[in-house]
Amino acid sequence: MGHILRYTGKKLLWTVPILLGITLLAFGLGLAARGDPAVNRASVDPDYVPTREEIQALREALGLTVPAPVQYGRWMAGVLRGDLGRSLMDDKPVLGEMLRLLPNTLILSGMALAVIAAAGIFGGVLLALFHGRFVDAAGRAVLVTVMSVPGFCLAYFLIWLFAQKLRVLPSSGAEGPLHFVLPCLAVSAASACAAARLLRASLLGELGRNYILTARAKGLGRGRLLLRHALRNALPPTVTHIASAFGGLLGGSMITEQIFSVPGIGSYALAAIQNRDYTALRGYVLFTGLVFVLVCLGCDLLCAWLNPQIRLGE
Amino acid sequence: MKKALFYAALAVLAVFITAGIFAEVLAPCDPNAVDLANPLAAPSSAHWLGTDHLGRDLLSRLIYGSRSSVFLAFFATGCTLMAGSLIGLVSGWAGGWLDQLLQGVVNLFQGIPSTAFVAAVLGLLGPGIRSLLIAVAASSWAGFSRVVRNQVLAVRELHYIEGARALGAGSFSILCRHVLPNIMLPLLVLAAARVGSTVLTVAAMSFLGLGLRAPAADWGIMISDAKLYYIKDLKVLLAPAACLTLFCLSIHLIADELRDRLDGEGDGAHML
Repeated sequence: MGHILRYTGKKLLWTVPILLGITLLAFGLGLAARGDPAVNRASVDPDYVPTREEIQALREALGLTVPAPVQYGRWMAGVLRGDLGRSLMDDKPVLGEMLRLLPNTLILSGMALAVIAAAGIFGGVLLALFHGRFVDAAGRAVLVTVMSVPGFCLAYFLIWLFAQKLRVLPSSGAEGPLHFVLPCLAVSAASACAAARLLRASLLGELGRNYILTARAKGLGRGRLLLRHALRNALPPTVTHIASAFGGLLGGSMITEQIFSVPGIGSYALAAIQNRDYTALRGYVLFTGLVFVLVCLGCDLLCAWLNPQIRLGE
Repeated sequence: MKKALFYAALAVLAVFITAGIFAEVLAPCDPNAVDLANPLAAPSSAHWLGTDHLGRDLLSRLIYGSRSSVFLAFFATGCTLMAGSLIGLVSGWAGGWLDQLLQGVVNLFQGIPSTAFVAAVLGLLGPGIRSLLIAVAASSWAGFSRVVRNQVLAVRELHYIEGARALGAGSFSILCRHVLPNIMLPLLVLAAARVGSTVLTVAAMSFLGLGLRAPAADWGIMISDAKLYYIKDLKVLLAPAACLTLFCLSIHLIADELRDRLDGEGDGAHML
C-alpha cells in the first residue's frame, strides 16, 4: 500500500504547478483580449454613448489601471477565497453563476462519460472476441465511420430523426432525464467508437503475450482469458483515452449545450465569449482546467491500480 | 482490402484537394450568387445538388468550401507542427532547466480542454483566418512538441550523432541534417491524424460564429446556415456534413495505414 500512497502524493504534487500555470494562462487570456473591457462594460446599453470620464471611472473601479502583475495578484487572492469576480455583462458573481449552471453540464458530461466507458469497453471486447471474423471487420468499419461524423452534425441528425420524424425524444431544454438522451448520444458517439477501437487494438496486442499463452496452455477458455486476464492489462490506454475524452466533453459542451438549448457552463462560456466578458471567460477556463486536471489525476491513479508496473516504474 | 481502402481514401482526399485548388473552374455557379426566387430548390440540371435557403448553388458552395475547410486544416496543422517541433527540438536538445521549464508548459497546455481553449482564444482575438491559425496552433502544439522532444532524446545519444559532433558539426547543423530527418516520419504520421481533428475544430468554430464569418463558403458555415432550414429540407445539412465526414474518414484511414506501416500492427498504444 505504501507505494500507491507515494505515487498518489507525487501525482498530487505535480498538479500544483500545473494549476498555477492554468491560473496564469486564464489571466493572460483576459489581458490578450482585444478591446477595452471598461468600454464594453460601459456600452452594455447600445443607445447610450459613455463619456470619457465614465469610462475612466469604470476602468478604476474594475482595477484595470494598476499594472498586470498586481491585477493578477488581486485576481488570485480572489480565486483563493473562492471569488472569481463579477461578470462584466450582468454583474453577477461568476462562480455563483457557474455553480448554478454546473449540474446540467455535469449530468450531461457524466452520462456521456458513462456511455463512452460502457460502449467503448463492450465494443472493444466484442470485436477482440470476434477477431478475424465478419463481426470484427464490419464493426471496425462502423466504428471508423461514426468516429468521422462531426458531433454537431450528428446532433442535428438525432434531432431530425428522434424529435422531428419519430417524435419520441425532446430536442431542447433540460427539464427531465429524457432531455439529456440526445445531447449525450451526440457528444459521446465519436469518443466511444475511438475507445472501442483503441481497446480492441490493445487487447489484441495483449493476447500475443506469453502469459496468455501460459494461461491458454493451462486450458483457459477464450472468453475467460480475455475478460479475466488480458482486459485488465489492456485497459490503461483506454482509460487514459476516456479521461482525455472528458476534457473534450467539457469543451464540447459549448457546442452541444447551444444546439440542444441546455443551460450549462458551456453555453455560459459561449455567451461570455460573444460578449467579450473576460472575467467570466477567465473563470470558465480556470474552472474547466481544474476539473480536467482532477479527472486526469484520477485516471492516472486508476491506471496505476490496474497495472502495478506503472506505479512501480516511476 | 485494407490496401484498397487506403487508396480509396487517398483518392477521396485528392478529389477534395483538386476541388479546392480548381474551385473557379469546377464550380458550376458563383457560390455567393443569391437567387431569392429559388430557395431550397430540389436538385436539377441547373443546380445538381439544389440550392440553400438563399437560393445559392449547394454544389458550388461545397466546392469552394473544400478550399476553405481543407486548406485551412492543412495549413493550421502545418503551423502547429512547426511550432510544436521547434519547441520540442529546443527542449530535447538543450536539456537541463530549459527542458524542465518547457515540459512544464507542455503539461500545462495539455491540461486544458482544447475546444474550450480554442474558443476562448478565438473569442478574444476575434474571428478570421489569422485568429483561427493562432488558436489551433496554441491549443495543440503541445502534443507535437512532446513527441519531438522524446524522439530527439532518443536520437541524440546515437553513435552517428556523436560522430558528427566529433567531426566538428555545430548543434544547428546536427539538428537540421541528422536529427530532423530521423524524426520526420513519426511526426508526419501524427500530423496526418491531426488534420482530421483540425478540420472538425475549424468547422465547429465557424459553426459557433467564432471562426470564419458568413457568407464565406465554408462547410462549418454551411452547417451553421442549415440549422434553421434542415427540418424543411435535410439536404442543406446533409451535403456539408457528408463532406466533413468523408474527409475525416479518409484522413482516419490514411493515418491508420501510415501508422501500421511505421510500426507494424498489434501494438495498441499507437492507435491514437
